[in-house]
Amino acid sequence: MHVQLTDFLRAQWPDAEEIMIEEFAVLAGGYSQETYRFDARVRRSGREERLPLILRKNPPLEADILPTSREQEHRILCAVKQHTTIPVSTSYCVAHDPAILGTPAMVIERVRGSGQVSDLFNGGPAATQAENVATQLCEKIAELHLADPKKIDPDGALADPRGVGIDVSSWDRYMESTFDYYIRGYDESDFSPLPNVLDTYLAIRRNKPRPLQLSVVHGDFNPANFLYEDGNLTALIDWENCHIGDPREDLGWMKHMDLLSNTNVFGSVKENGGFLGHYNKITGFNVTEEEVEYFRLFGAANIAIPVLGAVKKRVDRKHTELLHLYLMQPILVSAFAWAQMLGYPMPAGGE
Amino acid sequence: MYTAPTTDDLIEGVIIALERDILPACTSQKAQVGVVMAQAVLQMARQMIPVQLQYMCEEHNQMTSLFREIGELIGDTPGPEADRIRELAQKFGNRQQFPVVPPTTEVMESHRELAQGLVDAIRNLDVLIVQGNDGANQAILRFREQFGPRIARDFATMVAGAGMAGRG
Repeated sequence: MHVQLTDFLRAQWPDAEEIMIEEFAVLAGGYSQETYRFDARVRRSGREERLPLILRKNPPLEADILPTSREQEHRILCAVKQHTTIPVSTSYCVAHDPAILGTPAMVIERVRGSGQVSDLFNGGPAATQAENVATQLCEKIAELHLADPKKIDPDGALADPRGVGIDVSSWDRYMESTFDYYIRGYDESDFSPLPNVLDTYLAIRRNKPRPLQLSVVHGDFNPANFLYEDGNLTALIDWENCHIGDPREDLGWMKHMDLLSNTNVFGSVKENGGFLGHYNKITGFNVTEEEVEYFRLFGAANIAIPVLGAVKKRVDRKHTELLHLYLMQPILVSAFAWAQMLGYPMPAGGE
Repeated sequence: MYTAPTTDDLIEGVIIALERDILPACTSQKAQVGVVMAQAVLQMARQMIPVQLQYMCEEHNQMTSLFREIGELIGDTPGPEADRIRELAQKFGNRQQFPVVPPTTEVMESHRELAQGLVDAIRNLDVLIVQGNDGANQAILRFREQFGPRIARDFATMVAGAGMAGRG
Protein backbone atom coordinates (compact mmCIF):
# COMPACT_ATOMS: atom_id res chain seq x y z
CA MET A 1 0.00 0.00 0.00
CA HIS A 2 2.89 2.40 0.88
CA VAL A 3 4.33 2.20 -2.63
CA GLN A 4 1.01 2.62 -4.45
CA LEU A 5 0.00 5.48 -2.16
CA THR A 6 3.32 7.26 -2.63
CA ASP A 7 3.07 6.85 -6.41
CA PHE A 8 -0.49 8.14 -6.36
CA LEU A 9 0.46 11.24 -4.35
CA ARG A 10 3.45 11.90 -6.62
CA ALA A 11 1.09 11.89 -9.60
CA GLN A 12 -1.25 14.30 -7.78
CA TRP A 13 1.51 16.63 -6.61
CA PRO A 14 3.95 16.78 -9.53
CA ASP A 15 5.65 19.83 -8.01
CA ALA A 16 6.78 17.77 -5.02
CA GLU A 17 10.42 16.74 -5.19
CA GLU A 18 10.01 14.04 -2.60
CA ILE A 19 7.10 12.38 -0.81
CA MET A 20 7.54 10.01 2.13
CA ILE A 21 4.67 8.11 3.79
CA GLU A 22 5.10 7.59 7.52
CA GLU A 23 3.12 6.13 10.45
CA PHE A 24 0.60 4.45 8.19
CA ALA A 25 -2.03 2.70 10.34
CA VAL A 26 -5.58 1.47 10.06
CA LEU A 27 -8.21 3.53 11.94
CA ALA A 28 -10.77 1.52 13.87
CA GLY A 29 -14.40 2.59 13.98
CA GLY A 30 -16.84 3.50 11.27
CA TYR A 31 -18.74 0.77 9.50
CA SER A 32 -18.54 1.87 5.90
CA GLN A 33 -15.20 2.97 4.43
CA GLU A 34 -11.79 1.47 5.09
CA THR A 35 -9.94 4.30 6.79
CA TYR A 36 -6.20 4.70 7.38
CA ARG A 37 -4.16 7.47 8.97
CA PHE A 38 -0.69 8.49 7.82
CA ASP A 39 1.67 11.42 7.59
CA ALA A 40 3.10 12.54 4.26
CA ARG A 41 6.47 14.30 4.38
CA VAL A 42 6.42 16.45 1.26
CA ARG A 43 9.43 18.39 -0.03
CA ARG A 44 8.70 21.28 -2.39
CA SER A 45 11.29 23.83 -3.53
CA GLY A 46 13.67 22.56 -0.90
CA ARG A 47 11.13 23.09 1.92
CA GLU A 48 9.67 20.13 3.74
CA GLU A 49 6.21 20.01 5.31
CA ARG A 50 4.50 17.23 7.18
CA LEU A 51 0.84 16.68 6.21
CA PRO A 52 -1.41 14.71 8.57
CA LEU A 53 -3.68 12.74 6.22
CA ILE A 54 -6.39 10.13 6.02
CA LEU A 55 -6.93 7.61 3.26
CA ARG A 56 -10.59 6.63 2.80
CA LYS A 57 -11.02 3.60 0.61
CA ASN A 58 -14.10 1.81 -0.62
CA PRO A 59 -14.34 -1.72 0.73
CA PRO A 60 -14.73 -4.53 -1.83
CA LEU A 61 -18.10 -4.03 -3.54
CA GLU A 62 -19.76 -7.19 -2.20
CA ALA A 63 -18.85 -6.24 1.40
CA ASP A 64 -19.70 -2.53 1.03
CA ILE A 65 -22.34 -1.55 3.61
CA LEU A 66 -23.11 1.88 2.20
CA PRO A 67 -21.87 2.04 -1.39
CA THR A 68 -21.06 5.69 -2.03
CA SER A 69 -18.80 7.62 -4.37
CA ARG A 70 -15.45 8.96 -3.17
CA GLU A 71 -15.54 11.45 -6.05
CA GLN A 72 -18.86 12.78 -4.77
CA GLU A 73 -17.61 12.97 -1.18
CA HIS A 74 -14.58 14.90 -2.43
CA ARG A 75 -16.82 17.38 -4.25
CA ILE A 76 -19.09 17.81 -1.19
CA LEU A 77 -16.13 18.50 1.10
CA CYS A 78 -14.73 21.06 -1.34
CA ALA A 79 -18.11 22.80 -1.75
CA VAL A 80 -18.90 22.85 1.99
CA LYS A 81 -15.45 24.28 2.70
CA GLN A 82 -15.87 26.92 0.01
CA HIS A 83 -19.43 28.03 0.69
CA THR A 84 -19.94 27.61 4.45
CA THR A 85 -18.06 28.07 7.72
CA ILE A 86 -18.67 24.44 8.69
CA PRO A 87 -15.32 22.91 9.70
CA VAL A 88 -14.50 20.00 7.38
CA SER A 89 -11.35 18.25 6.23
CA THR A 90 -9.61 19.55 3.14
CA SER A 91 -10.04 16.88 0.48
CA TYR A 92 -6.81 16.64 -1.50
CA CYS A 93 -7.42 14.09 -4.22
CA VAL A 94 -9.43 11.11 -5.44
CA ALA A 95 -8.26 7.86 -7.04
CA HIS A 96 -11.21 6.80 -9.20
CA ASP A 97 -9.44 3.93 -10.88
CA PRO A 98 -9.47 0.85 -8.62
CA ALA A 99 -6.19 -0.19 -10.25
CA ILE A 100 -4.41 2.60 -8.34
CA LEU A 101 -5.16 1.67 -4.71
CA GLY A 102 -7.23 -1.50 -5.01
CA THR A 103 -10.60 0.23 -4.77
CA PRO A 104 -11.69 3.87 -5.34
CA ALA A 105 -10.15 6.04 -2.62
CA MET A 106 -9.61 9.61 -1.49
CA VAL A 107 -6.96 11.42 0.53
CA ILE A 108 -8.17 14.04 3.00
CA GLU A 109 -6.69 16.17 5.73
CA ARG A 110 -6.53 14.56 9.18
CA VAL A 111 -8.09 17.36 11.21
CA ARG A 112 -6.88 17.86 14.76
CA GLY A 113 -9.33 17.04 17.52
CA SER A 114 -10.68 14.20 19.56
CA GLY A 115 -13.30 11.75 18.40
CA GLN A 116 -13.79 10.45 21.94
CA VAL A 117 -17.29 11.86 22.16
CA SER A 118 -18.18 9.81 25.22
CA ASP A 119 -15.63 11.95 27.18
CA LEU A 120 -17.94 14.95 26.72
CA PHE A 121 -20.89 13.42 28.53
CA ASN A 122 -21.96 11.66 31.73
CA GLY A 123 -19.28 13.37 33.81
CA GLY A 124 -16.51 12.41 31.39
CA PRO A 125 -13.10 14.14 31.40
CA ALA A 126 -14.17 16.65 28.71
CA ALA A 127 -17.62 17.36 30.18
CA THR A 128 -16.93 21.09 30.56
CA GLN A 129 -16.60 21.35 26.75
CA ALA A 130 -19.93 19.68 25.98
CA GLU A 131 -22.16 22.76 25.93
CA ASN A 132 -19.90 24.72 23.62
CA VAL A 133 -19.28 21.83 21.25
CA ALA A 134 -22.96 20.84 21.09
CA THR A 135 -24.00 24.48 20.52
CA GLN A 136 -21.52 24.78 17.65
CA LEU A 137 -22.81 21.51 16.19
CA CYS A 138 -26.32 22.89 16.31
CA GLU A 139 -25.25 26.14 14.64
CA LYS A 140 -23.25 24.39 11.94
CA ILE A 141 -25.99 21.95 11.00
CA ALA A 142 -28.40 24.90 10.84
CA GLU A 143 -25.94 26.67 8.55
CA LEU A 144 -25.81 23.62 6.28
CA HIS A 145 -29.60 23.47 6.13
CA LEU A 146 -29.77 27.15 5.20
CA ALA A 147 -27.03 26.87 2.56
CA ASP A 148 -28.04 27.24 -1.06
CA PRO A 149 -28.24 23.71 -2.48
CA LYS A 150 -27.24 25.05 -5.90
CA LYS A 151 -23.90 26.15 -4.46
CA ILE A 152 -23.16 22.93 -2.56
CA ASP A 153 -24.54 20.73 -5.31
CA PRO A 154 -24.34 22.65 -8.61
CA ASP A 155 -24.64 19.55 -10.81
CA GLY A 156 -27.57 18.01 -8.88
CA ALA A 157 -25.65 14.88 -7.91
CA LEU A 158 -27.01 15.00 -4.35
CA ALA A 159 -30.63 14.66 -5.49
CA ASP A 160 -30.40 10.89 -5.75
CA PRO A 161 -26.87 9.86 -4.77
CA ARG A 162 -27.81 6.19 -4.30
CA GLY A 163 -29.45 6.12 -7.72
CA VAL A 164 -32.69 4.71 -6.34
CA GLY A 165 -35.23 6.98 -7.99
CA ILE A 166 -35.49 9.79 -5.43
CA ASP A 167 -37.33 12.80 -6.86
CA VAL A 168 -36.53 16.15 -5.22
CA SER A 169 -38.80 18.26 -7.44
CA SER A 170 -40.99 18.96 -4.37
CA TRP A 171 -41.16 17.95 -0.70
CA ASP A 172 -44.12 15.66 -1.40
CA ARG A 173 -42.37 13.95 -4.30
CA TYR A 174 -39.22 13.59 -2.20
CA MET A 175 -41.12 11.90 0.62
CA GLU A 176 -43.18 9.65 -1.66
CA SER A 177 -40.21 8.54 -3.75
CA THR A 178 -38.24 7.89 -0.54
CA PHE A 179 -41.08 5.76 0.88
CA ASP A 180 -41.16 3.83 -2.40
CA TYR A 181 -37.43 3.23 -2.00
CA TYR A 182 -37.85 2.05 1.60
CA ILE A 183 -40.70 -0.33 0.79
CA ARG A 184 -38.98 -1.64 -2.33
CA GLY A 185 -35.76 -1.88 -0.33
CA TYR A 186 -37.43 -4.11 2.24
CA ASP A 187 -37.50 -6.95 -0.28
CA GLU A 188 -33.77 -6.56 -0.90
CA SER A 189 -32.88 -6.53 2.76
CA ASP A 190 -35.08 -9.15 4.47
CA PHE A 191 -32.33 -11.49 5.62
CA SER A 192 -35.10 -12.96 7.79
CA PRO A 193 -38.80 -11.99 7.56
CA LEU A 194 -39.01 -8.66 9.42
CA PRO A 195 -42.70 -7.75 9.75
CA ASN A 196 -41.95 -5.03 12.32
CA VAL A 197 -39.54 -3.34 9.89
CA LEU A 198 -42.10 -3.33 7.09
CA ASP A 199 -44.72 -2.07 9.57
CA THR A 200 -42.39 0.86 10.37
CA TYR A 201 -41.88 1.83 6.72
CA LEU A 202 -45.61 1.68 6.00
CA ALA A 203 -46.54 3.52 9.20
CA ILE A 204 -44.26 6.48 8.45
CA ARG A 205 -45.72 6.64 4.93
CA ARG A 206 -49.23 6.85 6.40
CA ASN A 207 -48.31 9.58 8.89
CA LYS A 208 -46.36 12.24 7.05
CA PRO A 209 -45.64 15.53 8.89
CA ARG A 210 -46.05 19.02 7.41
CA PRO A 211 -43.85 19.92 4.43
CA LEU A 212 -40.63 21.86 4.88
CA GLN A 213 -38.15 23.21 2.35
CA LEU A 214 -35.67 20.64 1.08
CA SER A 215 -32.02 21.38 1.78
CA VAL A 216 -28.59 19.79 1.81
CA VAL A 217 -28.54 17.32 4.71
CA HIS A 218 -25.41 15.70 6.12
CA GLY A 219 -27.13 12.32 6.15
CA ASP A 220 -25.16 10.81 9.03
CA PHE A 221 -25.21 13.60 11.59
CA ASN A 222 -24.60 11.63 14.76
CA PRO A 223 -22.44 11.74 17.89
CA ALA A 224 -19.69 9.65 16.24
CA ASN A 225 -19.22 12.03 13.31
CA PHE A 226 -17.52 15.07 14.76
CA LEU A 227 -14.19 16.02 16.30
CA TYR A 228 -13.56 18.61 19.00
CA GLU A 229 -10.72 20.30 20.83
CA ASP A 230 -10.56 22.91 23.60
CA GLY A 231 -14.31 23.38 23.64
CA ASN A 232 -14.59 23.84 19.90
CA LEU A 233 -15.93 21.75 17.08
CA THR A 234 -12.94 21.07 14.82
CA ALA A 235 -14.62 18.96 12.14
CA LEU A 236 -17.88 17.50 10.98
CA ILE A 237 -16.84 14.25 9.33
CA ASP A 238 -18.17 11.35 7.19
CA TRP A 239 -20.12 13.19 4.50
CA GLU A 240 -20.63 10.14 2.33
CA ASN A 241 -24.41 9.98 2.88
CA CYS A 242 -24.94 13.70 2.19
CA HIS A 243 -28.01 14.32 0.03
CA ILE A 244 -30.84 16.69 -0.71
CA GLY A 245 -33.56 15.97 1.81
CA ASP A 246 -35.69 17.22 4.66
CA PRO A 247 -33.49 19.06 7.18
CA ARG A 248 -35.36 17.35 10.03
CA GLU A 249 -33.66 14.10 8.97
CA ASP A 250 -30.38 15.29 10.49
CA LEU A 251 -32.09 16.34 13.73
CA GLY A 252 -33.95 13.04 14.01
CA TRP A 253 -30.87 10.97 13.35
CA MET A 254 -28.78 12.91 15.88
CA LYS A 255 -31.52 12.55 18.50
CA HIS A 256 -31.84 8.84 17.71
CA MET A 257 -28.13 8.11 17.88
CA ASP A 258 -27.74 10.36 20.94
CA LEU A 259 -30.16 8.06 22.75
CA LEU A 260 -28.63 4.83 21.44
CA SER A 261 -25.05 5.98 22.13
CA ASN A 262 -25.76 7.29 25.65
CA THR A 263 -24.43 10.71 24.63
CA ASN A 264 -26.22 14.01 25.14
CA VAL A 265 -25.63 16.37 22.24
CA PHE A 266 -29.29 17.38 22.20
CA GLY A 267 -29.47 18.02 25.93
CA SER A 268 -26.19 19.94 26.13
CA VAL A 269 -27.30 23.05 24.24
CA LYS A 270 -28.66 25.69 26.64
CA GLU A 271 -29.06 28.72 24.37
CA ASN A 272 -32.63 29.59 23.32
CA GLY A 273 -34.08 26.78 25.42
CA GLY A 274 -32.01 23.95 24.01
CA PHE A 275 -30.89 22.35 20.77
CA LEU A 276 -34.23 22.59 19.00
CA GLY A 277 -34.97 26.12 20.23
CA HIS A 278 -31.53 27.32 19.15
CA TYR A 279 -31.85 25.57 15.78
CA ASN A 280 -35.30 27.07 15.21
CA LYS A 281 -34.08 30.53 16.18
CA ILE A 282 -31.34 30.30 13.53
CA THR A 283 -33.38 28.66 10.77
CA GLY A 284 -36.91 29.85 11.46
CA PHE A 285 -38.10 26.31 10.63
CA ASN A 286 -40.11 25.93 13.88
CA VAL A 287 -39.40 22.21 14.03
CA THR A 288 -41.39 20.51 16.80
CA GLU A 289 -40.36 17.66 19.11
CA GLU A 290 -43.00 15.49 17.42
CA GLU A 291 -41.43 16.13 14.02
CA VAL A 292 -38.01 15.22 15.37
CA GLU A 293 -39.51 11.96 16.68
CA TYR A 294 -41.02 11.26 13.25
CA PHE A 295 -37.69 11.88 11.55
CA ARG A 296 -35.90 9.61 14.02
CA LEU A 297 -37.80 6.82 12.26
CA PHE A 298 -37.51 8.30 8.78
CA GLY A 299 -33.75 8.84 9.10
CA ALA A 300 -33.18 5.47 10.74
CA ALA A 301 -34.98 3.82 7.82
CA ASN A 302 -32.65 5.62 5.42
CA ILE A 303 -29.64 4.01 7.12
CA ALA A 304 -31.45 0.71 7.74
CA ILE A 305 -32.01 -0.06 4.06
CA PRO A 306 -28.31 -0.42 3.17
CA VAL A 307 -27.39 -1.91 6.57
CA LEU A 308 -30.08 -4.61 6.43
CA GLY A 309 -29.15 -5.21 2.80
CA ALA A 310 -25.52 -5.71 3.83
CA VAL A 311 -26.54 -8.32 6.41
CA LYS A 312 -28.62 -10.08 3.77
CA LYS A 313 -25.59 -10.28 1.46
CA ARG A 314 -23.61 -11.86 4.30
CA VAL A 315 -26.40 -14.29 5.19
CA ASP A 316 -26.62 -15.20 1.48
CA ARG A 317 -22.84 -15.80 1.65
CA LYS A 318 -21.88 -13.25 -0.97
CA HIS A 319 -18.82 -12.77 1.26
CA THR A 320 -17.62 -13.86 4.71
CA GLU A 321 -16.91 -10.58 6.56
CA LEU A 322 -17.57 -10.72 10.32
CA LEU A 323 -18.61 -7.07 10.51
CA HIS A 324 -21.86 -7.80 8.71
CA LEU A 325 -22.83 -10.34 11.35
CA TYR A 326 -21.82 -7.94 14.09
CA LEU A 327 -24.29 -5.46 12.56
CA MET A 328 -27.02 -7.59 14.13
CA GLN A 329 -26.19 -5.82 17.41
CA PRO A 330 -27.12 -2.29 16.25
CA ILE A 331 -30.02 -3.75 14.28
CA LEU A 332 -31.47 -5.31 17.43
CA VAL A 333 -30.99 -2.07 19.35
CA SER A 334 -32.69 -0.14 16.55
CA ALA A 335 -35.56 -2.63 16.31
CA PHE A 336 -36.21 -2.07 20.00
CA ALA A 337 -36.05 1.72 19.61
CA TRP A 338 -38.30 1.67 16.53
CA ALA A 339 -40.88 -0.43 18.33
CA GLN A 340 -40.89 2.02 21.24
CA MET A 341 -41.25 4.99 18.89
CA LEU A 342 -44.18 3.40 17.06
CA GLY A 343 -45.84 2.69 20.39
CA TYR A 344 -45.54 -1.10 20.38
CA PRO A 345 -46.65 -2.18 23.85
CA MET A 346 -43.59 -3.27 25.81
CA PRO A 347 -43.42 -5.39 28.94
CA ALA A 348 -43.11 -3.41 32.16
CA GLY A 349 -39.44 -2.70 32.87
CA GLY A 350 -38.61 -2.29 29.16
CA GLU A 351 -35.43 -4.03 28.14
CA MET B 1 -36.09 -14.54 17.22
CA TYR B 2 -34.75 -14.25 13.69
CA THR B 3 -34.42 -17.28 11.46
CA ALA B 4 -31.27 -15.79 9.95
CA PRO B 5 -28.46 -15.31 10.63
CA THR B 6 -28.58 -18.53 12.63
CA THR B 7 -26.40 -19.23 15.65
CA ASP B 8 -24.44 -21.48 13.31
CA ASP B 9 -23.88 -18.56 10.90
CA LEU B 10 -22.64 -16.39 13.79
CA ILE B 11 -20.21 -18.95 15.19
CA GLU B 12 -18.94 -19.90 11.76
CA GLY B 13 -18.38 -16.18 11.06
CA VAL B 14 -16.18 -15.90 14.15
CA ILE B 15 -14.21 -19.03 13.17
CA ILE B 16 -13.55 -17.56 9.72
CA ALA B 17 -12.55 -14.17 11.18
CA LEU B 18 -10.16 -15.86 13.61
CA GLU B 19 -8.51 -17.67 10.71
CA ARG B 20 -8.39 -14.79 8.26
CA ASP B 21 -8.13 -11.62 10.37
CA ILE B 22 -6.77 -12.59 13.79
CA LEU B 23 -4.37 -15.50 13.27
CA PRO B 24 -2.10 -13.68 10.79
CA ALA B 25 -1.74 -10.83 13.32
CA CYS B 26 -0.75 -13.16 16.20
CA THR B 27 2.98 -12.85 16.65
CA SER B 28 3.48 -15.24 19.58
CA GLN B 29 3.22 -18.99 19.25
CA LYS B 30 1.07 -19.09 22.38
CA ALA B 31 -1.46 -16.73 20.80
CA GLN B 32 -1.49 -18.76 17.60
CA VAL B 33 -2.20 -21.96 19.52
CA GLY B 34 -4.85 -20.08 21.50
CA VAL B 35 -6.62 -19.08 18.28
CA VAL B 36 -6.58 -22.64 16.96
CA MET B 37 -7.99 -23.96 20.28
CA ALA B 38 -10.66 -21.24 20.25
CA GLN B 39 -11.67 -22.32 16.75
CA ALA B 40 -11.94 -25.94 17.86
CA VAL B 41 -14.09 -25.00 20.87
CA LEU B 42 -16.35 -22.85 18.69
CA GLN B 43 -16.68 -25.67 16.17
CA MET B 44 -17.71 -27.96 19.04
CA ALA B 45 -20.36 -25.45 20.13
CA ARG B 46 -21.52 -25.17 16.52
CA GLN B 47 -22.14 -28.89 16.35
CA MET B 48 -23.79 -29.07 19.79
CA ILE B 49 -26.25 -26.20 19.53
CA PRO B 50 -28.68 -27.54 16.91
CA VAL B 51 -29.10 -30.90 18.66
CA GLN B 52 -28.40 -30.22 22.33
CA LEU B 53 -31.96 -29.61 23.50
CA GLN B 54 -33.37 -32.38 21.32
CA TYR B 55 -30.80 -34.93 22.49
CA MET B 56 -31.12 -33.95 26.13
CA CYS B 57 -34.89 -34.37 26.08
CA GLU B 58 -34.54 -37.70 24.33
CA GLU B 59 -31.85 -38.90 26.76
CA HIS B 60 -33.85 -37.60 29.73
CA ASN B 61 -36.83 -39.69 28.68
CA GLN B 62 -34.63 -42.73 28.01
CA MET B 63 -33.13 -42.46 31.49
CA THR B 64 -36.51 -42.35 33.22
CA SER B 65 -37.44 -45.58 31.35
CA LEU B 66 -34.11 -47.10 32.33
CA PHE B 67 -34.77 -46.40 36.00
CA ARG B 68 -38.12 -48.14 35.74
CA GLU B 69 -36.52 -51.16 34.03
CA ILE B 70 -33.74 -51.39 36.62
CA GLY B 71 -36.34 -51.28 39.40
CA GLU B 72 -38.29 -54.11 37.77
CA LEU B 73 -35.15 -56.22 37.23
CA ILE B 74 -34.11 -55.90 40.87
CA GLY B 75 -37.62 -56.84 41.86
CA ASP B 76 -37.91 -58.02 45.50
CA THR B 77 -34.21 -58.60 46.02
CA PRO B 78 -33.53 -58.01 49.76
CA GLY B 79 -30.75 -55.85 51.21
CA PRO B 80 -29.79 -52.18 51.58
CA GLU B 81 -28.32 -51.86 48.04
CA ALA B 82 -31.49 -53.20 46.48
CA ASP B 83 -33.50 -50.83 48.69
CA ARG B 84 -31.50 -47.87 47.42
CA ILE B 85 -31.97 -48.98 43.79
CA ARG B 86 -35.75 -49.32 44.31
CA GLU B 87 -35.74 -45.87 45.88
CA LEU B 88 -33.88 -44.37 42.86
CA ALA B 89 -36.17 -46.21 40.43
CA GLN B 90 -39.20 -44.88 42.27
CA LYS B 91 -37.84 -41.33 42.40
CA PHE B 92 -36.60 -41.01 38.81
CA GLY B 93 -38.63 -43.61 36.97
CA ASN B 94 -41.86 -41.79 37.72
CA ARG B 95 -40.59 -38.43 36.58
CA GLN B 96 -42.68 -36.87 33.85
CA GLN B 97 -41.39 -37.26 30.29
CA PHE B 98 -40.46 -34.16 28.30
CA PRO B 99 -42.29 -33.58 25.03
CA VAL B 100 -40.38 -34.53 21.90
CA VAL B 101 -38.44 -31.52 20.58
CA PRO B 102 -38.66 -31.24 16.80
CA PRO B 103 -35.44 -30.77 14.79
CA THR B 104 -34.17 -27.18 14.75
CA THR B 105 -34.36 -27.00 10.95
CA GLU B 106 -38.05 -27.99 11.03
CA VAL B 107 -38.90 -25.32 13.64
CA MET B 108 -36.90 -22.67 11.75
CA GLU B 109 -38.61 -23.40 8.45
CA SER B 110 -42.10 -23.28 9.93
CA HIS B 111 -41.25 -20.11 11.93
CA ARG B 112 -39.92 -18.48 8.78
CA GLU B 113 -43.09 -19.29 6.83
CA LEU B 114 -45.30 -17.80 9.54
CA ALA B 115 -43.19 -14.64 9.82
CA GLN B 116 -43.24 -14.24 6.05
CA GLY B 117 -47.01 -14.66 6.17
CA LEU B 118 -47.18 -11.77 8.63
CA VAL B 119 -45.10 -9.63 6.24
CA ASP B 120 -47.66 -10.33 3.51
CA ALA B 121 -50.55 -9.61 5.90
CA ILE B 122 -49.02 -6.26 6.91
CA ARG B 123 -48.72 -5.17 3.28
CA ASN B 124 -52.43 -5.83 2.78
CA LEU B 125 -53.45 -4.32 6.12
CA ASP B 126 -51.70 -1.11 5.06
CA VAL B 127 -53.94 -0.83 2.00
CA LEU B 128 -57.05 -1.40 4.12
CA ILE B 129 -55.94 1.15 6.74
CA VAL B 130 -55.47 3.78 4.03
CA GLN B 131 -59.02 2.97 2.89
CA GLY B 132 -60.21 3.67 6.44
CA ASN B 133 -60.86 0.10 7.56
CA ASP B 134 -61.03 0.10 11.36
CA GLY B 135 -60.58 -3.66 11.63
CA ALA B 136 -57.26 -3.36 9.82
CA ASN B 137 -56.19 -0.67 12.28
CA GLN B 138 -57.10 -2.97 15.18
CA ALA B 139 -55.22 -5.83 13.52
CA ILE B 140 -52.03 -3.78 13.27
CA LEU B 141 -52.35 -2.87 16.94
CA ARG B 142 -52.85 -6.55 17.80
CA PHE B 143 -49.72 -7.41 15.80
CA ARG B 144 -47.77 -4.74 17.71
CA GLU B 145 -49.09 -6.04 21.03
CA GLN B 146 -47.60 -9.43 20.26
CA PHE B 147 -44.38 -8.16 18.70
CA GLY B 148 -43.51 -5.54 21.35
CA PRO B 149 -42.65 -8.08 24.06
CA ARG B 150 -40.99 -10.28 21.45
CA ILE B 151 -38.69 -7.47 20.27
CA ALA B 152 -37.90 -6.61 23.89
CA ARG B 153 -37.03 -10.26 24.57
CA ASP B 154 -34.80 -10.44 21.48
CA PHE B 155 -33.01 -7.34 22.69
CA ALA B 156 -32.52 -8.78 26.18
CA THR B 157 -31.39 -12.13 24.79
CA MET B 158 -29.05 -11.09 22.02
CA VAL B 159 -27.59 -7.63 22.60
CA ALA B 160 -24.14 -7.92 24.15
CA GLY B 161 -23.90 -6.48 27.63
CA ALA B 162 -20.63 -4.77 26.87
CA GLY B 163 -22.25 -2.48 24.31
CA MET B 164 -21.31 -1.75 20.74
CA ALA B 165 -17.84 -1.36 19.33
CA GLY B 166 -17.06 1.75 17.33
CA ARG B 167 -15.61 5.21 17.37
CA GLY B 168 -15.60 7.35 20.54
